[in-house]
Amino acid sequence: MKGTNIGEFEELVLLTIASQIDQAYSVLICDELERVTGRKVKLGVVHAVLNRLEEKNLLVSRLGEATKARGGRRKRFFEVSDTGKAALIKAKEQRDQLWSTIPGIVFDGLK
Amino acid sequence: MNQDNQSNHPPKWANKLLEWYCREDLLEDLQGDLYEYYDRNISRGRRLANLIFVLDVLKFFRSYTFKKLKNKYKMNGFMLFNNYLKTSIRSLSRNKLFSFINVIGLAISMSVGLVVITMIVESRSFDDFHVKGDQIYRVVNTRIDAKGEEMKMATSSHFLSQKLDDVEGYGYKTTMHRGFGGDADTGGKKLVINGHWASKDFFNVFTFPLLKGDPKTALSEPNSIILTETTATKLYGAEDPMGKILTVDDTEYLIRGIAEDPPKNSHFTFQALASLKTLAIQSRDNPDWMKSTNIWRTYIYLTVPNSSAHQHLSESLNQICKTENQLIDPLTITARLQPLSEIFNGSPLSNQIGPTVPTMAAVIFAILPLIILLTACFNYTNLSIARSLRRTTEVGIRRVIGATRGNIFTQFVVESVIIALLALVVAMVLYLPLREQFLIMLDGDGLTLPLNWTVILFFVVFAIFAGVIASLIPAATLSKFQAVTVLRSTSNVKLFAGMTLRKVLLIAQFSISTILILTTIILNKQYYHATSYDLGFSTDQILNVELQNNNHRLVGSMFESLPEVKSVSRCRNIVHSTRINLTDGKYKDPMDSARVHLNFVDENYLPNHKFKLLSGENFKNRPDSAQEQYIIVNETLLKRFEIGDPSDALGEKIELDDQWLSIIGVVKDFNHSTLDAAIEPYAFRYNAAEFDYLNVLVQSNDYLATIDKLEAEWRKIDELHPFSATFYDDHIEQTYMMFSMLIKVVGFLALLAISIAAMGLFGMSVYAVETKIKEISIRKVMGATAFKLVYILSKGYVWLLIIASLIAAPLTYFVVNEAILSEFEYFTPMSIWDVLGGLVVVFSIGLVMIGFQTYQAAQTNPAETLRNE
Repeated sequence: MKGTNIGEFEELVLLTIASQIDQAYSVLICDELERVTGRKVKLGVVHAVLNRLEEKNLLVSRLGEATKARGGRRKRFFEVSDTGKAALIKAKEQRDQLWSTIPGIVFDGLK
Repeated sequence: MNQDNQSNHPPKWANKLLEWYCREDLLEDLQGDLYEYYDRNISRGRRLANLIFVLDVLKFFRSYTFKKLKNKYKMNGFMLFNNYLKTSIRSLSRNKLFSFINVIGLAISMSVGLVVITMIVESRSFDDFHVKGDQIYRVVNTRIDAKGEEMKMATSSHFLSQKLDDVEGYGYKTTMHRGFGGDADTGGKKLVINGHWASKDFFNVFTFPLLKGDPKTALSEPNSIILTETTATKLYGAEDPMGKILTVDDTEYLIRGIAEDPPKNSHFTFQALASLKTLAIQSRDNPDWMKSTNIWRTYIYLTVPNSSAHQHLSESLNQICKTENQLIDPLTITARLQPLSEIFNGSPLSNQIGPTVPTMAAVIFAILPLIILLTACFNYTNLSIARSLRRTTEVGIRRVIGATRGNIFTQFVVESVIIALLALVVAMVLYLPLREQFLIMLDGDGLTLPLNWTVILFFVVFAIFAGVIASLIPAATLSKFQAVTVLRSTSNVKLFAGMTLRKVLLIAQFSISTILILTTIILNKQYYHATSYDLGFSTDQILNVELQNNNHRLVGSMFESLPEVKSVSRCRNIVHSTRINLTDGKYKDPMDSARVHLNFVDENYLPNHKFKLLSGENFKNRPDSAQEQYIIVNETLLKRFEIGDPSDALGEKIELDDQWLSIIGVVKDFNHSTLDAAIEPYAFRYNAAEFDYLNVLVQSNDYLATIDKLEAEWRKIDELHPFSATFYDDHIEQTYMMFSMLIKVVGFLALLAISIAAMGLFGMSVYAVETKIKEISIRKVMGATAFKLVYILSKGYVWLLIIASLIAAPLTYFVVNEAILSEFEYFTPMSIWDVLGGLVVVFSIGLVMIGFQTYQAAQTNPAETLRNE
């Protein structure tokens, strides 16, 4: 199925969300991605990806409580859905499988 | 990052924009995110933070953040429009009578509106071809005499023009003088030409392209002339006229230019222009030429480049007039600048250089057809509401399916616009002959009523406007229905809430019709009163012949040789026509001058017209060259100068045009002007040089043959000018041309209004009878007579007619009697019989319309209608 294949950036976003358990929201995700990858991550890009992932049912979202910060606007918290989890596992398995077939000699010099 | 900073807010408009385009489910947290970033960025400076915020808002303008359009019908408005179109056409073809009445009613009223639109579009386009159009101004004058009487004129004086030469700050100035023209003679060909005198900068002010000749110098020398293309071709054919000599009324001119024919939408036209210097040289010895009070025939046009120049020029004009007014006391003459765009459509001025349509006239002329259009719209409103009972189910089902009030509203508006557009097609058919009639009526008023795409575009806009106006009330009523109420039972629908409205509209329609009909009757009465009024002199069997510069003795003696001609007299002006001569007259007190009407006549004039001499005697025949000595005056002149009885006046001297003339006779007062003006001081003088008309007193059984004989005599003397003769009575009718035109227009509109109202009433009674057919049948079974039924059914409408006449009759009385007739010095008052006559017409039309329907209904066999229950 098309929905179960995810792109590299999508995978990163999903993993970030998973790592934050239930505290993941757009700005925090941006910050985390920037910290981990070291590259500049634009809110617009993340927002679009979050929207797309939710449409694919890989994410579920809920609105949090209103606070004084953010001009009184509530945060939208994201969690990885079961489908999302399955997709992540599948992606990991594919990679592991590929890793396992690579003879150790290939990366000898780098380790 | 979480610091609570109330004073810093991102730009409001960006926020609004975001709220406007963003989907609601995404909006809140997105907005929150942007705020969070904003708070972070604020430490880097407010401006930068604002900029980033704005950029972010713009960047989020993406396909997935857009609002889905709320109402799904708005997405497929075109599909719905198709549906509206289809259902409307079906419903219109189902209700043929309804559609017919509305289309015809609207078409009739629209056809008049179309003529008005054409006229307005054309008059707005006047003088739009001048390159410097927005800079051109005309100097116009207001003259106030010692009595405080004000005359506003389009003309100025040569005196003022000369003074303006010393004023700086404006672009170009051209001075024009009316009345150039005469018999042009090329040495072989002869032609009567007309035009103006114009000074050298004429072509620097106006844009009238020259085909040949230099616009800068063409009018700068005396005895120069410029011909239009058409005139040049008529005179010279294919030859090149440049540099040739043309004789106009004994003066020789050098042709120095050929101009394109002036466009039709110019406020003045010409066949030829002669250099003003020619006239100035000819008038060297005329003491009046440079007088500041000689403001009758001269026009000054200027180009004024900007508002500061305009102000400077206005101040200079005021200064010149102020200085001069001290010298010409008690007269006051003030000058002001009139923009070119206000010449054709503007406030009315006398002495215009060409025909104009004053704004007031145009407005009145536009309002009347609008009223007629309104009555046709009332028909639509009334009939739509009347038949809406049948459409309630349709509306109910539409609402159940999910139509909003707006949808229903639009549907009915579309339906009405379709009717209006159909009406436009019919109106176009009516418009063409109407336009022809109108052009004939306007004869020579400068309008040609061209039909072009701009005009057609206005027509369509006008039709759509009419359609929307007509449908507003029914559409609002019908779209108010709730689905449940109308579908449960139609009897629950409060249709009769619209009943009062319908009555009001019907009353309005009939009031308007009645007012117009009554006005027509009264105007008609005035017209006959005016044309058959006892003027104080006789006009019977007098044929006025224009002399056209021929020798009066020669023509007179030729005519007198005919046996049918009893006597021939001579005069300058036809008394009681639009052409008048005015001058200032003085008696003993040199400071007291009064306006005196002048006419130049011979010794046969007074007896020919049977003027009554109260004292003294008639003029005696005298040679043309003899010194003028005597005048004959009217009673009013004696009263004005307090000379006393007619017998005392003989021998008294009056100063007219710098000559002291003694009174040898006094005539009884007569109506020298149209009946809207009072009788004023009048003086007859005897001066052969001034004769323009022959008054031929004829006695014959066959007037046409006599005229032919006279024309044959005329031909012997003058081959160039066509013989121009009018019976005095026809002349008087022409004097009241405006009046008879007004009667035609108002009468025509009255006819339209009453037919539209009658059609509306007819439609209403058809629906009333249809809805009440069972009631009628049951009444009939119970034993009601046909007459009784007609009475019951028409009672309500008769009341409406009575109310309408109670409104209309007093209104007409006040408007016509107080506003129009009081302008007339001599009029017949409106009588009760005029009013009754008008009301009888309206009532009989109304009753026929109702009676016919109800009578038919009363005649139907009750079994026919009742068995279908």
